[in-house]
Amino acid sequence: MKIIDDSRIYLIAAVTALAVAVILAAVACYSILSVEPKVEQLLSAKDNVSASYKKAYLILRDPQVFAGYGNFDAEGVSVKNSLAFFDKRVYNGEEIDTNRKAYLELLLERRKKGSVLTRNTMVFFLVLSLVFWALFIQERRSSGQ
Amino acid sequence: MIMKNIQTALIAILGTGVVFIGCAKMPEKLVSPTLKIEPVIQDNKELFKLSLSTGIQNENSDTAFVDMKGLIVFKDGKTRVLTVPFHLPIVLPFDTGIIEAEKTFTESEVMPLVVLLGSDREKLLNEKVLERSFIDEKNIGLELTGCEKKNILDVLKDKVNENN
Repeated sequence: MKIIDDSRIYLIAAVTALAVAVILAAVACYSILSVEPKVEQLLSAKDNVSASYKKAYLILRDPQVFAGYGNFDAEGVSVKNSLAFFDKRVYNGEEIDTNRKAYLELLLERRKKGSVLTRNTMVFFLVLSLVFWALFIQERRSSGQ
Repeated sequence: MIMKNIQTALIAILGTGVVFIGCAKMPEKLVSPTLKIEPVIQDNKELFKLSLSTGIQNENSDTAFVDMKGLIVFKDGKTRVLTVPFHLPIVLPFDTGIIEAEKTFTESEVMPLVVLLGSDREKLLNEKVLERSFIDEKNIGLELTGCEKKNILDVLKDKVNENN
């Protein structure tokens, strides 16, 4: 009976899953290490609050890839309303005072959830890749190469 | 060979992305149209002033409609009864652009609409006003003649830079 060598399939699957994990890691790291601290810093500003909040909002208006603003469940309605509110404020050149900070934090929270989801998905693909690497090594050993 | 396949796949994925980005959802219907027709005298002529209040909803999350122009069309089946032009400078995402249009028409122009709304000339002249808050969707429509779609982030950044 002919033994089928599946090592090539395992190798491709392992490399693909690893590539996806690397891309997701880059996306998660960029948000966690660069974007979120920058927004937090702007939101903690004591001087020139309105300008800092507007800068923070412009950063938050570009959503994290896993926390887009396209679809909202019942919980997300407050995010949708916040976007409509801040878009209008910024467009009309109106001030954003400290009373509105909580709504900006809501948007930041959504971005953070997106980052966590990206990180978890990255871990999933990493584990998947490891499984395929293990299968690949086992297949190579069993085929005596 | 493998590189060529990867390149083809990437081009297809990016192409699909570009198509989706370009497909902002355009408004198709008017929000709560209310209408008022009143007889007025202008330059010793009996005319009819039509006041229309309605809204256009932008359901997109990241696209702003800039310089939106169009017509509000009153229709009886497929026949156009009357059109009212409108212009909105901008409708932001998740927002409703409010249209407050006012236009004066001659009797021959406005009467088909008056009849469509279940009234007639005598009734209108006696009551001095015809008001409708609920207009059947099949009798009123929206036709866009011009609209620029802009990314909200670009619009807001331009505005912030303009104000600084």
